Amino acid sequence: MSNSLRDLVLAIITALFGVTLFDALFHLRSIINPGISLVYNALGPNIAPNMVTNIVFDWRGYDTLGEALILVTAVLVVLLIFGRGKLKGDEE
Amino acid sequence: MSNDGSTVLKLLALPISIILICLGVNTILGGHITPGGGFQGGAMISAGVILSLFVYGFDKNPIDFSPSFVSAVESFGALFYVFLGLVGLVFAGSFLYNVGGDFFGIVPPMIKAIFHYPDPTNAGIIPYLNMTVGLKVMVGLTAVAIAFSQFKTFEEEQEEGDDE
Repeated sequence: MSNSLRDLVLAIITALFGVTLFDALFHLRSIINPGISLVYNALGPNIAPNMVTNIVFDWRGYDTLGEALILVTAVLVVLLIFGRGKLKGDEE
Repeated sequence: MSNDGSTVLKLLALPISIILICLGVNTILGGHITPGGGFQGGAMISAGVILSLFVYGFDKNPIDFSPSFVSAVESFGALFYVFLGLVGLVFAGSFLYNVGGDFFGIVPPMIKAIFHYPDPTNAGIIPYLNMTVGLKVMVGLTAVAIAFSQFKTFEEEQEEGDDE
């Protein structure tokens, strides 16, 4: 395969890929459903001014509880792994 | 740990720790208005305590967190968070519903008055959740630092015991 032919094929494939990508993007924009996000963006400022805290503690409060438990688990694992054999009850 | 720290460090560490702790408390209490929140404020408080711990050492630490204090604060934070969630579950049918803000008007006014954070915003239980998470994060990160510093001491004691 000569060099010019390879360039030609490469150009065609790139063009096809680009067209497909743009097509997908343009259609995706009409397909995506904003869901509760638009509603919450309208309601949120009526609850408290800081939208980030609103989402983290109001809309996704359950998520934040799990996030806090991750920290507890991390402390527990540190104590278990690094404190192995050095805790109060161990004889060694 | 660091018994040979410089005088300037020992002179400045405690004021800087206190300033960091005050800044963290400010961040937690203003979490629903200004940038920040419980996690960030708790990390700031913990940074102040850890600075004091590493400069003065565990034995002479002026900001001393005992293990019972750590476990009590950690348990209080987690249980109060779950309690606020259960209040929402009982009175609104949804776990962690904002009973103080009560956007949909389905909570009895007496319950709403209890959990409404008293300031011009309509934040409801968000500041209380901020505080509980702040307490948890403060104690958790500090406990990790205390644990690491103490494990090193244990190892040194063990080595000394082996030498003798």
